[in-house]
Amino acid sequence: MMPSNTKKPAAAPSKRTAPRKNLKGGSRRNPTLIAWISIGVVVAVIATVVLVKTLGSSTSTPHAGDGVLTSQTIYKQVTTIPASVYDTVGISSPAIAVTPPTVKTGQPPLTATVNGKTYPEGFYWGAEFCPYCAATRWSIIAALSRFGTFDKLYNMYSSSTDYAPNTPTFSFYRTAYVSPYLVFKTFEVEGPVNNGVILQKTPPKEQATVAKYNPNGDFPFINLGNETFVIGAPWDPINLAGLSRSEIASSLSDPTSVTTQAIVALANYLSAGICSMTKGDPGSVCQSSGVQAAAKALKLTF
Amino acid sequence: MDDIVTPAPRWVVVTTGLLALIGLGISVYLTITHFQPHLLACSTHGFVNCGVVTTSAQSRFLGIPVAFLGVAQYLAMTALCSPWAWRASNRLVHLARLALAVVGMCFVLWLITAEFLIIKNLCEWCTGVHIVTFAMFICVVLTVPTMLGWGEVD
Repeated sequence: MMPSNTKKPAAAPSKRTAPRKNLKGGSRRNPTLIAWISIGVVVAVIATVVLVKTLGSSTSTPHAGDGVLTSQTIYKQVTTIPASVYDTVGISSPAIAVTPPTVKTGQPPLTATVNGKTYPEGFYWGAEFCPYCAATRWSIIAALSRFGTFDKLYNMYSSSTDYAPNTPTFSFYRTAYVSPYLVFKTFEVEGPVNNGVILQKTPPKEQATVAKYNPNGDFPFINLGNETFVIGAPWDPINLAGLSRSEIASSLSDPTSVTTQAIVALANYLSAGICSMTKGDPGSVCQSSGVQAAAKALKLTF
Repeated sequence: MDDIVTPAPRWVVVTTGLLALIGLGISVYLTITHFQPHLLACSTHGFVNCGVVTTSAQSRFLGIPVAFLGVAQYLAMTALCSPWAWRASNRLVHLARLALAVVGMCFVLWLITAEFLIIKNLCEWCTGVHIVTFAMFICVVLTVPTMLGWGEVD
């Protein structure tokens, strides 16, 4: 196809090279000016969005996790506990009693559909102020990081006026978890103060399972596929008293540490519950001796 | 609807052709990773997090994956920004290119708003497509109206 004319390129709009159709009323508009105004509008919209985001971040309701991202060092220590530690500890925590999760068979599976694909679903339901949640989160993060990735974590302390005050932990508020094996949701339903103010709403589907399996509304509540449940405190957060976040995290490579044993034992239980959801995927996790020991104790097969 | 159309500058033809191919490539990649999230190569920590964005509720528009729409947009743009299309005497070809560039830019503005204010995470691959779309928008709106002789009087 050849051009229909041989005029100068369009970059020189002021020089007329061919007869044009008349505009209404003979008015004259400068298309280049209109184009630049359009570009300016686009830039202004983008700048406004970025500005709103920036201002919104600095003026949002404060809570204990705000703006204090967990350091990369601690993030790595919690999310990449060596496999040897998981296998050495298994479900053995002689110094700190760990209550195994409850298994209910024959329940309708909890699933979530993402981008047209259905995944097994699990979720955590707790509160930022809750000291029992504070201890449990260490194990949740450790276990879930074997199957996927938390995009970030925020430093948190449990309530300073509750049992085991100021237990070092993390908040799931404003974090996201991605896994190729499952969907795991987190709901910090209340903030750092136990005042009944809702921080994150629980969607109807998850709320229905809370009502069914955790009618007392105990914190924390973990539902892994409507099969494996943690209801209330699996281990006593007072055992973390006097320890800094850094001390707890750095000890996670030491299977003889009593806090590591509690965190890892519960993480292996949770991992077994997740492996039951994923039907044994990934094998590197689900066939490990620590997870197999937990599966045996919970009578889970995968 | 053949009519007199001023030819586009060569740099616009070359630039938009390359931009369309880049946009198409990234869109195809994002479509693949939409269904295979583990193939997504990007940051998973902090504000920049592709996984969160591409699996968010906003990753679909009217039930259609946004990545699909990106592929459709850039397939059409690749055709409309080919040297042959730029030389077309049919004004509709140039109007279609302009309309698609404007619609694409509006959609990108929505996606940027969703990323910043709703999802609160940014996807670098998506941002790549957004930059390509913006650059394409600039090239097209600065060229097509003049090519079609808008604003000139007898």
